[in-house]
Amino acid sequence: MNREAAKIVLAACRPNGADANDPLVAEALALVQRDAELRAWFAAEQAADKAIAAKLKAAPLPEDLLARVRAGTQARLTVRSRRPSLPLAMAACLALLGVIAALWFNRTPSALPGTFAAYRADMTQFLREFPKLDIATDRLPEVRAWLLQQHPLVQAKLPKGMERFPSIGCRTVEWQGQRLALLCFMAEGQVVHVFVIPRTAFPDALLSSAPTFAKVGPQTTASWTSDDNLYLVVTQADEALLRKIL
Amino acid sequence: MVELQFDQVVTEHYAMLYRFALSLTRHEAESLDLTQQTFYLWATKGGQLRDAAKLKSWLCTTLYREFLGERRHAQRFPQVDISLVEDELPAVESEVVAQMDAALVMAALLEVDEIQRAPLTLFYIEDRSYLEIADILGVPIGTVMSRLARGKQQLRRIISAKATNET
Repeated sequence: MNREAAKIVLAACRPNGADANDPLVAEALALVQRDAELRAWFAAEQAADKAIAAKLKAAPLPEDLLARVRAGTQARLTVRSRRPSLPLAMAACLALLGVIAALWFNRTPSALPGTFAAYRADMTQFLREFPKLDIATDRLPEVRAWLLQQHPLVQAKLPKGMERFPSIGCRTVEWQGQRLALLCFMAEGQVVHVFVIPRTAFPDALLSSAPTFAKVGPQTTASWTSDDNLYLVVTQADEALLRKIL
Repeated sequence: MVELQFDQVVTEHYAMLYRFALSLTRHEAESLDLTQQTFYLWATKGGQLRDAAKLKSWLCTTLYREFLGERRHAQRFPQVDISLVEDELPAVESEVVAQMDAALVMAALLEVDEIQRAPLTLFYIEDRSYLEIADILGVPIGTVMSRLARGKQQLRRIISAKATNET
């Protein structure tokens, strides 16, 4: 190996010394020991590489990047989980026809407007697509600050088990003239949505402070009251996860 | 089978992937999109990965393939023979770089030709060896070396110009 060839190899040599045992690099380094000019060049090269690497690693990232990556990825996964294959789609069509027929012949009254059951049904429907968030952040204090600003009446008191997970963000939701808050979390790889609304919104709600679990379509829900608020958690995950974090 | 939680994988690797994506696209929105798509692919296909130690490489390789697929630029990445690299690297004082703003050095990297930015990013930000870079980018070792040498040359020229303008 001559000096020029050694320079090409040494230019690909990381400044942290991790390549010293590579046979090609070792051969070039042997030449460095014998060639003073090459040694000076290599020392300057490694110093410059070290300085550049340090600066590039320190370059700032967008503040809310993690939350945006999480939310965007989860949204893609949500869409994918709802995109059936052709045979599945055909089977679903047949099943849907059956369901329509069954519903037609066994009609039962749907949840009354303004009731908690209607609210829960509407919120699970609302989450069929990952919602656009007013703020995206993985920091709960920022979510709390936003809540205080947007919903001075809603002092959300989240279960301790949930507070240890990173948030995705939050937004306001209008429902039948009521303004409520939606907080989104990422818990053990699953998106968990928490709706918070003043308890007075539902005179019919007989919810206790202990969570009540229910399955609404493909979604699992849990609801409870605490102080003046009513909490509704919605997730694609199973009940076991909710029991673990609530 | 990899037993890693999705959230853990995202938290540990999002910054690395985003920086790599940014070096390829030079656009924040496109980089975010590529990063999300890579995690999406891991969530849907990552189960095929049997060695957890190779996760980082898998993510980089997947992101790079997605980038190539989206841009349809594969044919514009000609392989350069190592013998073509003749110029010596211009001297850049490490002290000059040390005094520069990190964002400015990143801006300099983003001005390097597309073909050389990917290996440079893997080299400087990811501490990848030339062998690993060849594996991730799917190019011969000689090509990686020549792209690194040419890329460094260009990067240092840009850094020097930026440092001069700054003072």
